Amino acid sequence: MAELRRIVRRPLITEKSVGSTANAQYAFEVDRRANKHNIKDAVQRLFKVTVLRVNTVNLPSKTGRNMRRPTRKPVELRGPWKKAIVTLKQGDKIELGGVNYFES
Amino acid sequence: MTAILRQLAPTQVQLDIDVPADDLDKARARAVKRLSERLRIPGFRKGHIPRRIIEQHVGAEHIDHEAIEDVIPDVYSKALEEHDLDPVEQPKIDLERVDDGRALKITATVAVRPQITLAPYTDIEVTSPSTNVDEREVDESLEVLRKRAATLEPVANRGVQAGDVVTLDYTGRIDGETFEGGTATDHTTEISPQRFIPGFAEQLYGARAGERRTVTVTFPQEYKPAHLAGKIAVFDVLVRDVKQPVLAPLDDAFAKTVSDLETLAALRNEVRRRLERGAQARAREAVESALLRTLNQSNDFPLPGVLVDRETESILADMQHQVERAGGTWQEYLQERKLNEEQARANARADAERRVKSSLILEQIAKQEKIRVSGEDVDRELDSLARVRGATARATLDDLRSSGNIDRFLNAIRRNKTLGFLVEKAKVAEAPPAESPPPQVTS
Repeated sequence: MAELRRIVRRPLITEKSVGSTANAQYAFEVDRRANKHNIKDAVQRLFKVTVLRVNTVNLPSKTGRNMRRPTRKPVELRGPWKKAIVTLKQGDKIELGGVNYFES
Repeated sequence: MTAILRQLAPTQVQLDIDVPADDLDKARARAVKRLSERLRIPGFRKGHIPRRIIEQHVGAEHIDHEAIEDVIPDVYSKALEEHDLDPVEQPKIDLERVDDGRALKITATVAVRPQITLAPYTDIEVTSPSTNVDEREVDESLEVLRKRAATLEPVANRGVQAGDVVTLDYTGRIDGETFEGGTATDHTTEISPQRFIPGFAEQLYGARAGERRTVTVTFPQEYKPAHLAGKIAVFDVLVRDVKQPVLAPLDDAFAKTVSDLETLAALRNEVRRRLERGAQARAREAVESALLRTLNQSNDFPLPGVLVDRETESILADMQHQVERAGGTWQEYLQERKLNEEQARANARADAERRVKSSLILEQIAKQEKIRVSGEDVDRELDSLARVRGATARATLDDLRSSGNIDRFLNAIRRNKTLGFLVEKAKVAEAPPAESPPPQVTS
């Protein structure tokens, strides 16, 4: 269980992800090293659902600058990460902590 | 929404308002919308947060609470309108949830303005005091001006007499001990028996500048502070110098020194005008209060208890404040008038009832006669208030707004307008000029 949670880190709850639950698609932040097969397996076991498809995106890290510091060197705000959009079998749902994070 | 009215007392009502589940749901939806505009939740733009997410963030109770806060003023004012009520205070509101919390039952109790059927308020006969200013009053005012403009001239050829202005050094002792307030140097004062402890001034009569005298006086029994009352004090007094006020002759030159008018005749005119203005203002006030007295007697209706209570407290607070500003304590004040706390309160209450009654009558008249406060009224009053305060009209308005006195200000204008209307409609007869008062002693 603990390893599975290391692969699928957290659900992404945003306007976009909540909107696409209508198509049985759920978005997660996942480990960068995980591949689609790992993710499919993890989601199925974590949430007891059937996964039809996994799409992944690698996202670049984001930097910002602290303009008040004398060097004004770029500061890393967020490292590179991977997002997975998981399509479930029609009718399956994912609920987290007893509450359905995705449904609106 | 349904609202049922129950009359608890002549000026006290209870409103039982039912808010059906439907209305409450709508209010909840509005609350969600508002929260969605207000909340910042990462991943969502403002105003685009789904209800679900909001509920998880702030809790369903919070949404409920917001909805109820939103719905209460709305249904309350609708209920007031439906039953044509005019409340005079904030309502006391009780909530009860019915139908598993889906619907709401609101019980509001509030004091309302009584139904007033006014007795006739036009053609009231009143007598106004005379606004006539006779020559002697002008003379007296001029005399006061003369005294104020008097110059002091040193007196060398005689001793102190009443009316002189002297400079004194003195040291007072009771049983050989000096006491607080009993010693002064270079103290300039006018010699008049009323200003001093009895006997003090008289014992200085005849003293010349530079003379030293010993004065023995007894403090009167009612003297304050009380620890000095009845004590015998010996004052060692040095008269440093003696001056007497010299009155300027009443002529054009005098007019020029006390005013920017050129001639004595012009000054007389000015003084007369001022006196007449004062007399007119007093007459107007007398007419107004006579009108109010008449109206108070001819009308009868129940008074809302809260208003009377509030007014009573404010009268008492004002009185206490005044007494304390004059340097006394409230207890002393009561003792002087042989009143106890309850009697003072009862008196204040009687006053309060009169005031509340008058203002309810005036408000009703204003309503019936459609007397409204116009923009010009506000501007005029604002200008005059601004002049008194030495500020601009703009700043005065802002100040009234921020201090929350703006309603009181507007009400006062309306009240005055209504009074003006009443005076205009009344049958005012001017009393004949008052009998000349006994000639006053002018020195």
